[in-house]
Amino acid sequence: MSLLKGMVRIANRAFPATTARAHCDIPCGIYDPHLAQIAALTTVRMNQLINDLPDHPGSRTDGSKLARYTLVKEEHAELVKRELRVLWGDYFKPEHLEGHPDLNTSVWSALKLAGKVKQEANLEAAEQLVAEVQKIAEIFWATKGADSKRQPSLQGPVGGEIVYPSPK
Amino acid sequence: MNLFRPLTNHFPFARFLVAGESMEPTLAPGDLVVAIRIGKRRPPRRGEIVVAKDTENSALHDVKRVIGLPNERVAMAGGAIFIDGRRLWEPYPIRPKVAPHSEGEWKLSESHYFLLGDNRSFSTDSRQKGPLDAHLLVGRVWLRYHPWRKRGRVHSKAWVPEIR
Repeated sequence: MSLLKGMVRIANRAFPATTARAHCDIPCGIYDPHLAQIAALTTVRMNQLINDLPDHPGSRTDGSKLARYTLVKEEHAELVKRELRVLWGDYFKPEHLEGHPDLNTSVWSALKLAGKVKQEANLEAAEQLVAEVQKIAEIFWATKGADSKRQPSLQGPVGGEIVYPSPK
Repeated sequence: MNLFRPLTNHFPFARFLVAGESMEPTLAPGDLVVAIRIGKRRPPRRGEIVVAKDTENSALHDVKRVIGLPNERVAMAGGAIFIDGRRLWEPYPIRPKVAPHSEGEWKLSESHYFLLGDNRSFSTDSRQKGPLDAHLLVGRVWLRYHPWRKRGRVHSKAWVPEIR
């Protein structure tokens, strides 16, 4: 059986299947900065949990927790980057810059901060990331012609605020 | 890099990996299919699923279903497709019935085919990109061999009453 599998593997390598795209480029036009905010808030919570661990985790349980918190922190920092890239690249347009000239700087610094949050166990950077994403969310809702307000996240110990739209 | 590519380009069969949802429910992402290379002797028929080169980048391949043949007039209205004024009969499952289909009319030249994805609401095809020239068609999908439980020939018949 392993011989057969090996032969199949060699055949697959020598004659690989070409990708045929059954793709869809239709823009759905639905964008929302909410997911970026939730992901940024998650990185704050993961940093809090990491800080709650002993400085030198000795037990397997602590080691396992540190690994899980770090993994989730990095995944959500990457999610923030992805969401912001989609908003910046797909939704925002040059005319939005006229009313919000600091938009590019905000997105740029949020992406840098998200990178820092990935690399380090840095609660301060995660909190700065949340603040920067909130600014972008407010700009987003302003370009949609809606007011926005910051409300408590009500997400337990992580605290913080989330920007919600409030139609005029 | 595949050193055998120049050789395999001339094989009568080619394997393709389906990527994307626009051919659902017939073909799902991750399906592996075998396509018969399209030659001059046997042009594609209506209803057949074909692999075609992308109009802008010939290194990319798309998989769609043949709806309109050369010299035909394809019209889409009220959720139905009309070929030269007669309604097209599609026995294979298409998705979804609830979404509004596109409206429009296309007159095909002597070398153009009109292709659609089976997942009509989520497909970029001739409705947006226009009819496709015959020289871009690479192969017609014949059978699926992966996943194993879905193995077998791919349903590829559609016809218009009277011009069957």
